[in-house]
Amino acid sequence: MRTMRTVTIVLGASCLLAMAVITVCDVTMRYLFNDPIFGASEMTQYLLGGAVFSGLFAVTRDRAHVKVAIFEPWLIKHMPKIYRGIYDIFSLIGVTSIFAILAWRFLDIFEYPEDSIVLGLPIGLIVGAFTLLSALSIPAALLAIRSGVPEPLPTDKNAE
Amino acid sequence: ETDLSFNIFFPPTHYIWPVFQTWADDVSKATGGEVKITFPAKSVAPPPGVMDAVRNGVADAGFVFNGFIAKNAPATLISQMPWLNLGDTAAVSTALWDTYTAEFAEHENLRGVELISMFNLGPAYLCSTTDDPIETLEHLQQRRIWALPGTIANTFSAMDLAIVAGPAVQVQELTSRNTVDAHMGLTAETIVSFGVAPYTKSCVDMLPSMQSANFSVFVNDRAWKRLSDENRAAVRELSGAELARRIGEATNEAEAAALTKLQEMGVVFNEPSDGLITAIGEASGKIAASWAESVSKKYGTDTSAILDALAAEIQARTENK
Amino acid sequence: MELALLGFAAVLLLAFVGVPLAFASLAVGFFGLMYLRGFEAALSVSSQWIVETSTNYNLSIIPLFIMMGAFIHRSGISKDLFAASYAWMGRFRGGLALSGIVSCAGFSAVCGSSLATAATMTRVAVPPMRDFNYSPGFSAGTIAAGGTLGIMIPPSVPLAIYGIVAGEDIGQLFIAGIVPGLLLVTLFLGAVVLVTAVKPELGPKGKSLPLGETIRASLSTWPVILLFGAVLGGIYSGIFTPTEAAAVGSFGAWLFGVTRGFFLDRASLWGVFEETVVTSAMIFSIVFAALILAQFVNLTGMPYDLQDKVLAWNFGPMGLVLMICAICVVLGTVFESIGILLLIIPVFLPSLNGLGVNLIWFGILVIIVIELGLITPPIGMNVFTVKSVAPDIPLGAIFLGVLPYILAMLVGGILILAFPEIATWLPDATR
Ligand code: NA
Ligand code: NA
Repeated sequence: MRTMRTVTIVLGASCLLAMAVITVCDVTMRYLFNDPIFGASEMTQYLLGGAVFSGLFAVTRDRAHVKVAIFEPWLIKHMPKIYRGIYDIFSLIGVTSIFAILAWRFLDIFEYPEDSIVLGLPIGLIVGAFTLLSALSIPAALLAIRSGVPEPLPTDKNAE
Repeated sequence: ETDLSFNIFFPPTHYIWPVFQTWADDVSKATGGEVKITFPAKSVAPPPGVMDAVRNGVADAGFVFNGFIAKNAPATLISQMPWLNLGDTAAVSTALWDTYTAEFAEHENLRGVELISMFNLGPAYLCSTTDDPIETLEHLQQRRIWALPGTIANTFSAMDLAIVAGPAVQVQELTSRNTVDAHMGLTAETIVSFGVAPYTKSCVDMLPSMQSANFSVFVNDRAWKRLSDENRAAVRELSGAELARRIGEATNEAEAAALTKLQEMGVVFNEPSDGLITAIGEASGKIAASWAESVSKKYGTDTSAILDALAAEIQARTENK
Repeated sequence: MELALLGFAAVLLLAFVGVPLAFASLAVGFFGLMYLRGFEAALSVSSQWIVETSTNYNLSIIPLFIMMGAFIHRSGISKDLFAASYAWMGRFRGGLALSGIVSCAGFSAVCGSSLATAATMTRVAVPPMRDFNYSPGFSAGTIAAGGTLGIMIPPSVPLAIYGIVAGEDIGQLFIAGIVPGLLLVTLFLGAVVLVTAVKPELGPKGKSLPLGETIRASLSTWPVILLFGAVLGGIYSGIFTPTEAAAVGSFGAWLFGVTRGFFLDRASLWGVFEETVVTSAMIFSIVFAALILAQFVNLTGMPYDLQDKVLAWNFGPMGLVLMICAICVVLGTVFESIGILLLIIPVFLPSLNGLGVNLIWFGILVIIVIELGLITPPIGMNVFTVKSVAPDIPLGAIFLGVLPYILAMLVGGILILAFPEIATWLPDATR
């Protein structure tokens, strides 16, 4: 699963890089050659989606979903197991719901296909990819429950 | 009493709101207060998703840009084909409804919803945001152009022009930052209301217009079946061509007001060269022909003939005003 | 109205007992929609907004600015910023605190997040303050408050999110944040001067450096000035859209790091991308869940009810704005920034529009209110951040240390309320 975390982050990073490169190229082509890339903003859109759903695995695995920690000290002191359990169970339910909601949309588009408006890309395939990526976060949530690793503060990652 | 929620994805300041509100009042009167139409404060779905939202009952009714449903209902695009709008959008909208219901409605089933009306918005303009007007094909070839996705973007793309295609709400940002130096596909009203007017220096004066956007108005099937026969008849009476006419006339007024405003702001309307019109005409003609062919293949209709008849009908209705 | 309030209460309750904020909003939004319109309607709304949000072109600015910040804070620029400010101001009473505020402002000019600004600057600025016998609480409080500048001085992730929610031009909002950001810097500096005048033992003088060294330290901050100039100047002059500016800025930040010998190995690049991908996914899951909740609120008819009430009370636009600010301040004690932006603003937007409130000005006010929330107890994310980086300083001492800055921020908020031009004249001048 360590591998899966690496793979999803590499995938998400590739989407982000592609996004940045397409955008920078679009600007360059536009100003230097008067020739913008056709559909650049639409490519950016779907790459953004790719990055977001790729990242869902690591967020879930790292127990890094944002929570409101107002009563945390008290809850940790008095009912640490329950407090942790609530986070874990809702995390599992949450990512499973996101997967189910996307899967519903995917099946619907599969039956009545739609194309994106500028580039004419099959939206069904794109939503299918998002669905697949979000499915990965279900084992991530289960793993987070089993491993018992305390979640890092998001700020620990922001710092060096 | 039946409450029907009707989704409008245009901003609350758009002139279409009062048209629908009056229509809702009239529906209420005609049904003796039994059908009450309300409007959610903001759109329940992003614009491409409105039909899906209505089909699934998020709202009971609404309208969608036909470009978003073209994959499954290509014939709805008919009045977006080139050179139909002669400046009277009420004529286009009513003729669209009559033609579509007569020729395509039986073939084209919109899943889960009942089609109750259709309408077009005003003619699309080709405008320059630099001091130089666009008069010839060469001028156009030197530009970076924002183009409305669909017929226009496809046509310009076929002409090998440098285009940026995206939602119309982006145009203000694109023009204000010189990302593009021409735009094609906005109506006079949207040029003003989207804040593009200050950057627009001149527009090409071409009627018939190359394109005007069209929309389908529909009600969720289950909600529609909940209405009594009389109430359904009353709604139909006020929708269809009647609603198309009302929106068309409001569009005509809004367009006229916007044109006056643009002229006051110093926007110049210039004549295009014959070469420009011919070049756009050839490219868009191919787009229209391939659309007609695919619709004919799908439904076995003589779509080119229907398109010609629609053009003649629009011309007759425009002249009879 | 009651239904919507019930929904809010449910979200708060779930969030308080430890349910992740995104899933609390998602659950309440989904079941609320199901109650109002049925199961399929709830599925339709949720799936539409999940896909729409995660493929929204304007939101692509968020990961790109996160990436730019990630590159920047790993290239050691924070140390240079502090050294340059110290060279100028260290010699005065409270000089290290003054330097801390100014270097936070400098870092804010290239980073869109308050937490990242606070975390980075704590590492750099707190140890020297403690070397010079500054009060630990005051030192940490200074950086916690200085860090909030991260979201007022552009670029700013919360301002971008506000722009999406309110339908306002993100570029204009960024430009609008500059003057209020400088105003806050000035007020914070004033707070340091006042506090150390009353209690000199909190912040003794530092060393005085020779002029040559001062100038050399200042010159080393060129990358920040260049990047800020390229990003903001590009947006301001109309060369880039904000998304393009963010992409160009990330590229520039990487390039700058490379000139200093960073980002040449796989491990350091991995750190940047890991942070960017994880943080983006975290933010987007909150954003789409909040939009689903907002749709539930929309369908309860609450916006209309609220508008009717506000019109009936006849407080006028200012009354409404004050009321919303008060609500946000109260919620800001508990919620982090994005939660407030996405829960509260959509509800009031129709009324604000109806009463003709300038939404650029209002956005700047909301950001001040959010900044306030970041440093007020019981939940002050910036204070927690500083605490997590400097764990030996007691939380209570930090909250006491930020008190002068809370007052300064209130003054700033009142000034912007009274003189909207502070926020509006610069963007108006560029229209
Ligand atoms: Na910033
Ligand atoms: Na707080």
